[in-house]
Amino acid sequence: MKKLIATILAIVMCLSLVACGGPSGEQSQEPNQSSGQEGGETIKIGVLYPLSGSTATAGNSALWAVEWITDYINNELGGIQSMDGAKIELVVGDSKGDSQVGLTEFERMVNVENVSVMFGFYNTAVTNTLSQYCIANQVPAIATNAVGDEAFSQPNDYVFHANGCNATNTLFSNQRTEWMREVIQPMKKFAYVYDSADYGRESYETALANMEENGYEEIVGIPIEAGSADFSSQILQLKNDPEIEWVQPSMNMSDAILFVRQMKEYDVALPIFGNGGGFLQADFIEQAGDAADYVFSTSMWFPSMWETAWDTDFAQTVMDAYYEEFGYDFDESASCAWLGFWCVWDALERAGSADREAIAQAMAETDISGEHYATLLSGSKTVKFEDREGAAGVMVYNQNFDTPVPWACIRDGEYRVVWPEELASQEYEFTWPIPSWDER
Amino acid sequence: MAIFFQALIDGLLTGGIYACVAVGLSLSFGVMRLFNWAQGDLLMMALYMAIFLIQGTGIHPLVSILVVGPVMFVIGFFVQKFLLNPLVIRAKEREPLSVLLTTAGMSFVLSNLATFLFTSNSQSVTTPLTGRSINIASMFISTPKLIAFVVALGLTFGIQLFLQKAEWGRALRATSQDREVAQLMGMNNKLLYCLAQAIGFACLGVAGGLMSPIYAVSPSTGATFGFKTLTIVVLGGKGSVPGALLGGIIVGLVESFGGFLFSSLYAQIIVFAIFALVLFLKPNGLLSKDRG
Repeated sequence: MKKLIATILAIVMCLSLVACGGPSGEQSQEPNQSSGQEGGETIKIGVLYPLSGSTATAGNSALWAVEWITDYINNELGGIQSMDGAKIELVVGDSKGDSQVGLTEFERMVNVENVSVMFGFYNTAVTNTLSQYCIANQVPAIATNAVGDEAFSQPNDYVFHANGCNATNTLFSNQRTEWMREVIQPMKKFAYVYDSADYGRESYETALANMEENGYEEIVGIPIEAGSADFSSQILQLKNDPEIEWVQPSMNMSDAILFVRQMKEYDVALPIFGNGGGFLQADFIEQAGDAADYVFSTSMWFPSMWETAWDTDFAQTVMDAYYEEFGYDFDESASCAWLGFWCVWDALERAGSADREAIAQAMAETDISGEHYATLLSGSKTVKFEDREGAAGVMVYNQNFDTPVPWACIRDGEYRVVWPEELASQEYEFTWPIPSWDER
Repeated sequence: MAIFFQALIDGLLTGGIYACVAVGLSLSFGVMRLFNWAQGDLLMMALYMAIFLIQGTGIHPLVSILVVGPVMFVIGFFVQKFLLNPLVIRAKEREPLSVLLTTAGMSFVLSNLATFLFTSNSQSVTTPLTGRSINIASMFISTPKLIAFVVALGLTFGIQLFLQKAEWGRALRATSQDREVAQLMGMNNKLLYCLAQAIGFACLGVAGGLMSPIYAVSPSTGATFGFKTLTIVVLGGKGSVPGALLGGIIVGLVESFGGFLFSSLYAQIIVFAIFALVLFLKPNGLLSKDRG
C-alpha cells in the first residue's frame, strides 16, 4: 500500500513539474510581444474580481458584465476591428478580496498568461496593491469600484479609474454631503460605523479630514469587524448619545442586513445613510425585509437609471439578461464593470495593437461622450481620465469625473432616487424626517 | 445604569447563541477527544437548511428546529460512522491528528460546496421573530436572541441530565474517561461515538433554526463562528457542556461591554487576552475536570 501511495505521489510530482515547465518557458518572453497577437487572433485581458469571500456577490456581478460585453464584441461586433477582428480572450482570476491572493493572480496573468491589459480589482485593498504593481510592470489597467484614494495618489501612465459618478473618497466626500446639507439641518454630529478594512477605514478618515469643510462639529467613529455576529454594543453607543443625528454605516451586505435588523430591534430610528457597499447590493432590500425601509444609500447606479440610457431597448435587453442570470436588477458593480470594460474596448480599437504601451497611451487619451456603449448603463455620460485635487488637498490621478453621486431612499422594496433632481424617481415623494419604526 | 443593564442583557443573549453552537462541539470533544474543525461550516449548513426550509414552506423558525435538528442528527451519525470512526478507532493516540485534518478538509469542502450550490450571495429570511424585541423599562430584549438563550440553557441542562442519568449518557461518559476499559465492559464505542457526534450535529441544527431570524448566511459564515466556537469550548473546559455555556456567556459579555466601552476590535483583543490567561492559569479550561 505504501509503495502504491509513493508511486502515485511520484507520478503526481512529475506531472506537476511538467505542468510548471510551460509557464516558466513563457515567462522568459517579453510580455508585450507574447500577449495577444495582431492579425485576427486573440488579445488577452486579465480580469480580476473577488469571486469568493464577503464581496463575491459584487465580483460575480461585475464579471457577468465583462463576459457579456466580451461575447458581444467577439460575436456581434466581429472582434477588435483595428486588429483585423482579433477576439478578446478573458483570463479570469479570483482575488477573494485579499490583496495577497490578488497579487498572486496578477503575477500569473501578467507573467504567465501575458495579458495585455488588467481589469477590475474592485476591493480597495486589492487595488492599492495592484495599482503599484501595474505601474512598476508597466501594465495598463482599468480599475473599477475601489473608491480608496491611495491606489490613485501616484501620478502614472498606466492605472485608470473608470467609475461613473463618483471617483474616489476624497472627491465624493464633499459631493455626497451636498444633498445631505440641504436635508439635515442643522448638521452637527453623526456616527460613522465602518468596517476596519481599508475601504471603511479610509472612508471614515476622509470624512474626518473633511469635517470642517462639510460643517460637521463631530463624527463618532465606531469601527466594526467584517462578518460580525452582533452589533448590539455599537447600536447601544448610538442609542446612548442623543446628539447623534444620523448614522453612516460602511459595511458588506451580511453585516448591513444584521445592522438594520438590530437597529429595528432596539428601536433606534436614526436615519441611515449607507455608504454604498452592502447597502446597495441588489438583494439587500429583499433580504433585509422591512428593516431596509427608509434606508438611504448612494450608488453609482440605481436600476431606475436605465430610463436615461440613449438606447433603452438595448439597455433593457442587457438588464433582462442580467435579471435572468441573478434574479435581481442590474447593479452598481455590473454598471461600473460595464463602463470600464467598454473603455478597454475603446482603447484597444484606438491603439490597434496588443502592445501595452500603446494601450496605456490610448487609455490616457480616452474621450467618450454621446451614444457610446460605455455610457449606456452608467450614471456617467462622458469618460475622460483626469487628475484632480480633492477634499483636504488630496491629489488623485487618472480619474473619471462626471455627474454627482445620486442618493436613493429604499421604499416599498425599491431604491427611489431622491437626488439629483434630473435622476430622481418621478413616482416617489420624498419624506423627511423619516418616521419612527412604529410609524413605518 | 440602564445602559449597563442593556449591555448586560445583550452580552448574555449573544452568549446564549454562542453557547448553542458550542455545546455540541464540547460534547463530541468530551466523548471522543477530538475537535471538529468544521463546526462553523456545519453551522452554516444548518443555517442554509433552516433558511431554505422557512423560505420554501413559510414555517415558523422554531418549527424549523424540529426538522433541521433531526436531519443534522442523522447526518452527524453517518459522518461519524463512515468518515470519522475508521480514523478514531485506528488511531493510537488519544487526540488523533488525522481526525482534525479530516474535519479541516470537511470545512473546505462544505464552504466550497456552498459557494458552488448557493453562490457566495448572502441568504436570509424575514420571519415573525425578525426585528422583534421586548421593551422592559426602556431596555430592549431581542426576542429571537432571548429564545436562543432559553434554548441554550435548556440544551445544556438537557444534555447534562442525559449524561448524568440516562444509560446511554453514562455510557458516553464512561467512554470519554477510558475508551479501552469501556469497551472491555461491553460498550459499543463505535455506536457511542456516532451518538455523540449526532447529538453535536443536532445541536447545530437547533442553533441554525434559532439563528435564522437574526443572521444572513453565506459560505463565509462558518469563519465567523468556527474559530469563536473553538475558543469558547477551550475557555469553558474541553468536554464540559456547562463550560460551553459559561464560555459562550463570557465571550458574549466581553464583546458587549468591550464593544460598548471601547470598540469591537478591542473587545476581541480582550476575549483573547482572557483566553490566554485562562489557558495559562487553568490549561484545561474553566470547568474541565480533566487533569490532562
